[in-house]
Amino acid sequence: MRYLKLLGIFYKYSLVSELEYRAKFLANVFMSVFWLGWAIVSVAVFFLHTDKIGDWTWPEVLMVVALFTFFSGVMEALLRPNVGAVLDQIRDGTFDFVLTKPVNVQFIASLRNIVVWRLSDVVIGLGLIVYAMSQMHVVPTLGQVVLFVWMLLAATAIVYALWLMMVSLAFWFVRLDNFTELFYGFYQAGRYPVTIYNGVVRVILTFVVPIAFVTTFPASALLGRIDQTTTIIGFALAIGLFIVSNRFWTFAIKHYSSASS
Amino acid sequence: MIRKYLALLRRSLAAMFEYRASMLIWMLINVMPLVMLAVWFSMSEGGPIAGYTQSDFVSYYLLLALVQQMTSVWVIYELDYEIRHGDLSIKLLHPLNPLHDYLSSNLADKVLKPVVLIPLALGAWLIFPTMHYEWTPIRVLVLVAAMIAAWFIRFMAQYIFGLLAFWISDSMTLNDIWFALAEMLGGMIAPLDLFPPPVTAVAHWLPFRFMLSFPVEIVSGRLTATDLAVGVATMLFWVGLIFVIYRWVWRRGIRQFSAFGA
Amino acid sequence: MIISIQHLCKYYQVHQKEAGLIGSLKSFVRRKYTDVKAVDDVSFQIDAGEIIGFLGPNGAGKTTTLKVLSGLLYPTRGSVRVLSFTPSERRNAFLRQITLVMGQKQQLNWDLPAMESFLVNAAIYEIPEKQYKQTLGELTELLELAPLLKKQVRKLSLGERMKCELAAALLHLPQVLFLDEPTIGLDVTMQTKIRQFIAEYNERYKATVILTSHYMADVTALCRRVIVIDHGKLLYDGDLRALAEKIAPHKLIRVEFSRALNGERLEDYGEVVKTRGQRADLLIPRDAAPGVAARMLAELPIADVTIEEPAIEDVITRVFEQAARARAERGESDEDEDEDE
Repeated sequence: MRYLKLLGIFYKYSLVSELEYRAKFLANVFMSVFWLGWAIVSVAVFFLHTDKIGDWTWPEVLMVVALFTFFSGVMEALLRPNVGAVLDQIRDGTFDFVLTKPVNVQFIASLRNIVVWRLSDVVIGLGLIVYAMSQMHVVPTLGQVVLFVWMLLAATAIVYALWLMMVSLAFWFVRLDNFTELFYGFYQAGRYPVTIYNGVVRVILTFVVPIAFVTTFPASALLGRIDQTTTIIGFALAIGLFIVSNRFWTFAIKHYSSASS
Repeated sequence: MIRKYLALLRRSLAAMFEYRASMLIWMLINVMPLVMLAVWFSMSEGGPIAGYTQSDFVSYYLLLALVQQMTSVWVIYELDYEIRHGDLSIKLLHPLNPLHDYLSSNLADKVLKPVVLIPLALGAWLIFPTMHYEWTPIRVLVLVAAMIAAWFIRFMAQYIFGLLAFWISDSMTLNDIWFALAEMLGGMIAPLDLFPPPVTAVAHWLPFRFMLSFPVEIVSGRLTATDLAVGVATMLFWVGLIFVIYRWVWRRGIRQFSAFGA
Repeated sequence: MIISIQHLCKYYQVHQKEAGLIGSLKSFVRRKYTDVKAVDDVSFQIDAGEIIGFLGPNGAGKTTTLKVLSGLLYPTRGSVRVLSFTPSERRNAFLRQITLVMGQKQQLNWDLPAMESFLVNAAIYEIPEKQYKQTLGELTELLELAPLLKKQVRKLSLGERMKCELAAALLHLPQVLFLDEPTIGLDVTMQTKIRQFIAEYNERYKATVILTSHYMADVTALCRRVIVIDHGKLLYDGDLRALAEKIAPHKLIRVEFSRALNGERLEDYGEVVKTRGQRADLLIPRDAAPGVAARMLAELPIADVTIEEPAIEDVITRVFEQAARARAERGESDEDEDEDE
């Protein structure tokens, strides 16, 4: 309860400081639309030469692009300004202020800030999902929607866990100022359905850096083309990664408090 | 001038060596060519697409990755930081145009990168022995020149966008748009031949082609001697134009800077 | 004459820049300006070898003036000559003979030992090999740099870093030094060392120095002449001691009594600034001070008496207070001041 209240205060603070820049909001909506257009064109190129990629039709691939945009927004609005900023805080010494606050460290480090205007990507991503569905003239069943939300939650947990682990690792390598950027390299692969990749690449994207569960599988869920095994694996993976990343974070904090001067 | 460059290069190399791990990570992040290769590779499994076979795609994208690495540029971040923190003032007090300082720090990266890239290239060649290029002495020579030109256009374009910070606060956003266009029309998403013909025709004349795809095209075996000559001429045009634009923006920028103190 | 400024004005046209891409595009095409007078009709001349203390509160226009003198900013009006160059042309021949040290800005690369940055400067300033070695030797000795040169700059203390900054800024043996708060944030010992170094450099190379500092000790130790500006206007230019006489035409008499006073009125002797227990401080007009002191000795139970100049900090504070009062009388507000960073 106390934490919910804190969250309210945090976000009100973020919102107020963001509202100072109304013009910035417009510029960012513009950039969101621009990037979305860019992503769509980058998929459209393939459909000049084929009508299916990795067994996905044009509107189906749009769903994946939509989820890619959606999670870009989630990362930019919530993960980069919080977990991503921990690295900078360690480097300039302000992380000590976080550690001395009488609040759970992971809570503050994960949810303190929100860059509201970056949520434009989230909204636009959702919009594109609706558009793609209408293009296919499909209305998803209630079961598919539930499964979709389910997979979306799992995807959120996975993305969060991956970020948390990267940052925890960075406690040992403070000099690596671009550590969190590493994730983006892999994330780029998530703009296409994972079935398009062959062999090793697909295995890596499914199990090692499970981007497939972030963009492809939630889309499959809504399209009703996901099998039960994938759902279960996704859910197990989300819980597993979440637990492991939390443990690792706690361990890293302990290491930090004992090693820093 | 050579002495100055050697000293700057030495300093930049030493600094870069301090950040060698970061440098490796930056290299790893640029996986876009590999992602695109993976996609086109699996798409062309059933047969060539518009004349591109699987091994054509491999040849195209692996060389593209190399060109991308050897032409990478980040000067806008340095410039933006130094303009905002006033560090540029200190550089302006030196009897040397700050451009050389930034150029040399980028060159240091290009001197170090082959250490990693050459083994990678050899490895790639072992994995994909079907990679094929048109290695004639002249083409290789033009390839090297085109890579230098690509680097120069990239660098100067970003530098110019960075200098716009003297006037506007969103120079970074403009640079992002430029970068996105370069990815699309520079042959990253697809070889330019795979776009609809009108788009391809326009893209051939735009600067983006000469920032990435042109060096690869030179040895791809798809350019006739005439295409090559026209391409080189267009490339030189853009190199010249961007330099002229730089001179113009720099002069006005310095006037702006010393009038307002930025 | 090394430096000559005639009627220098530097007005900033502060434009109201709107945030965001659209606002920026708008202000790129058309924008509104308001004038801020950072430096307003200032003239002075400086001879070779002088050390000038350049004083004024924050936002007075000190840094702006130094930036104009070093060629970073060009003047709105007035003429500026430094070493018979016009600084804003930023000729290499000019830049090679000056240096600007800013206490809050660094030119050394933090990731490398200072030595690396020195080598770069040697190349940029085209310092001949032999001269470089000799100068480095001298600076190393003067600043006691030997143990610092091979250490990563980020691992140095603030004071050590400042010493390296100074060395980097002086390797080309500039004729004219603009030092903007060179001792800021340093502890007293280090301040003294930097001060001594500046004096020695001035002595050895006959260099001209303009120094700004918030620490009056720097100024009193180094500068015979001070230039005081406030709100962009020149308030005083001349001998430091004469400033005290002009601004504060009083001396301070400190007395200690052998017993508590009963009924004697101190106010009859002069303006009582402070009393505590059996001590009191009085301000007496400069000329009358010896006479008043003698009278007090004769008429009061005095245990001890001293006659002092008021502290220079107090004098300067008075200068600014007077200027502010004068401005207030003219009806100008304090609001138009700008930060001259």
